[in-house]
Amino acid sequence: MTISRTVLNSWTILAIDDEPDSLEVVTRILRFHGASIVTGCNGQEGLELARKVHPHLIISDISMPVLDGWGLIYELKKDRTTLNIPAIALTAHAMPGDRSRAISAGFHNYLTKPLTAKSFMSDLLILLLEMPEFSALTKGVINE
Amino acid sequence: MNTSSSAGAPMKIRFWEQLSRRLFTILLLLTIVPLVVVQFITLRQTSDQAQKQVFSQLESVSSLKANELNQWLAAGHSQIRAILAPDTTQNINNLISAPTDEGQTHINGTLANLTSIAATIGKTRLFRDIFLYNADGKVLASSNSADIGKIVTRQPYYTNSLANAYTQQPYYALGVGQLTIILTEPITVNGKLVGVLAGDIDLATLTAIMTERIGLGETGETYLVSSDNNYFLTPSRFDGFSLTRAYHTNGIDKALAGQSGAAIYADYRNISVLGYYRWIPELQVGLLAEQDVSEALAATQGVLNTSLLIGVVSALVAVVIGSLYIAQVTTPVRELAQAAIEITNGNLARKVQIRERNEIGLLAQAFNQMTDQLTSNLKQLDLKIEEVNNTNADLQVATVKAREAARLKGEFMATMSHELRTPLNAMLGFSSILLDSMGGEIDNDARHMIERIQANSERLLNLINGVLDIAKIEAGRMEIVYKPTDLYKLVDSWRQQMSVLAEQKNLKFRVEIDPAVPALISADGERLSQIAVNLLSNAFKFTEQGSIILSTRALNDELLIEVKDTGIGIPPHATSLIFEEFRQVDGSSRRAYGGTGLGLAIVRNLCRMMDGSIRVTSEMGQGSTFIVTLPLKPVLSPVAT
Repeated sequence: MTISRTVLNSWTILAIDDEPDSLEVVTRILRFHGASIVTGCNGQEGLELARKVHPHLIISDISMPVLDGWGLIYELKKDRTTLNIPAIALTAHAMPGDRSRAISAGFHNYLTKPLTAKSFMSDLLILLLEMPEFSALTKGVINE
Repeated sequence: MNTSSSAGAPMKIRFWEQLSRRLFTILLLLTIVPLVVVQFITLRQTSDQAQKQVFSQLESVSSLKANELNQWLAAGHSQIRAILAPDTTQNINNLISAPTDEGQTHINGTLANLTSIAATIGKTRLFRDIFLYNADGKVLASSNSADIGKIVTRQPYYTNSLANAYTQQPYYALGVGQLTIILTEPITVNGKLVGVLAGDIDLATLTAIMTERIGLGETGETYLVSSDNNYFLTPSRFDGFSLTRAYHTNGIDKALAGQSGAAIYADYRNISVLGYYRWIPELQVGLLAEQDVSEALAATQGVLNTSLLIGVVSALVAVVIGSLYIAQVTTPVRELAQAAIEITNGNLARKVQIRERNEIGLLAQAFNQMTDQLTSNLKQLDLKIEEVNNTNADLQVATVKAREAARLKGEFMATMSHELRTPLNAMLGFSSILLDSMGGEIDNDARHMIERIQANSERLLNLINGVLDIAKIEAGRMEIVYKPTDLYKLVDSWRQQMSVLAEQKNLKFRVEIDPAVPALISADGERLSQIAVNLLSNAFKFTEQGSIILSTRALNDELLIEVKDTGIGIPPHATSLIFEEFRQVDGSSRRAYGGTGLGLAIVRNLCRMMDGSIRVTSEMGQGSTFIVTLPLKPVLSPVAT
């Protein structure tokens, strides 16, 4: 299955990670598929950007300085302007219970590092297809 | 812990339950009862004896007196007959046939003289009067001249006197006003009765005989009673009796009925007496010998009094001595009880004095020893408790430390896991971007090298995951989470996962499930997958041609997962080796086949953690079969799907 390069056209995605390499990997992949990317290198920056930019989607690491992923999601959900923005956790933590913890904290779902380009995109699309707001955006765009 | 409300309070001993009182009572009873019994028996015996003795005495006295009486009467008769010596008889005959004054006077004088003869018994004269009458009953001569000329035919003795010698039983003579006893002897001349010589007995002798009281004590007496009218013929020693009254008592009546014997009865005074009654046929009187019971048994009274005294004294002595000895027992016992109470209340130093060298002393000694032992034991116990507390404290510290260490280890592992994966993310990420043409054009050379980078990154990732898993398992942090699992779905996912590889390597690959396997089982799906995928990866790695079959079976209570391949096989010496960490068949195989050497170690550990096992059979060049056996846990409760 090949994913179209335009599948994320008109999407604005906020990517947050304190590791520049990890951030670059995610950014490249998403851009390649058509999304506009805004980046932050910790939860605090991410929070401010979210308030300013109102992205369609947030993809965030968990362990970050200043404000970590848990703090970020907490703040996002507290703020009326940002609480409806779906957020996906992308983290190298692979402990059992991390997923359910993330979901109960408010993340829509949870993806693990290390990732490969293909695996990441297909997993992401599956998650996006679950969100009713986005099915319109992604409908009919996946090529077999 | 004794929660009874009376714990510690000594029990109340009621007055009569106290040992001392009971012992005392028993002692008293044991002393008194035998005494009383013995006294009673003795008393009976003594009184019986006394009674017998008195009866015996009375009987002797009675016999004696009866004899005396008879002798006296006999003596009287003898005396009268003695008068009738031949010439006196002649004179009397002359007088009877031809009374002359002279002859009469002479005879009178003779008779008068005779009356002065003292009775041999009683020291009084035998006869008051002696008189003589002819066959017609006319008194011809008498010691009392007033009698001369009287006619005696109306006297009670007259008729009998003509026949034989006769003793007239006592009677009241008319005109005399007192008791009279007449002894008569017939005067016969040439065989023909011509007259009778009669004597009027002086009753003083009678009285003297009867009132002789030797051997009769203070209340004993003998007396005669007339059969005529139950009158007393001789006086009683006691006042208050009458000589002109008829008396009836048991003794009197029996005697006058002609019987003789002994009995206890109430006498004429209505006082209890021991009596011997006798019938004197010669006089036609009853002879009574009596003694008051009280006097008769006075001796026994003395015995009774003495024994009573002895009894009281011994009782007192028993009481005193008994009390002392009882105290000797009960006091130490109380003291022991008291000591025990004090010790119970905490005073472990309380000792009991050992005063006696007997069983009580033994008890006291043993008690003290016990207390010492107890104290020593308690000390030891305290030491042990301290030890235990110390150990506990140490253990607590150790536990805390161990927990802390485990926590740190866990944190470390989590951190390491995170840290190790992060650079790999960059490595795999970038290389995959390049390989997926998301990063611009790359030529074949560059592509090849980037592929190598990615392959090695994946290998590194596998190693890291393997190491972390092993570490997790060994740290006990690996959890088996049992959930209702659809094994059919799971097996199918394995099939899907490996089908690409099967295509790539052009190997036949199929999965099988025995229908006996339940639809839902209680299992940890992730770990099962880890096992199955691991085994399948190995199978695919070491098989170049042929087939790989995964079959799942249910047998008894077990689940069997079998991975069979037609690969290179495992040499016999290596079949257990391969399950060890970082071990492959030999060094070369690692290079040729890749892999971390951790997979089977993890698989075996996981099997163990699920209470299962794994074994392998193999033939070089033919293939290998790995069989995982796990307990089949059915889903316990219905699950809503």
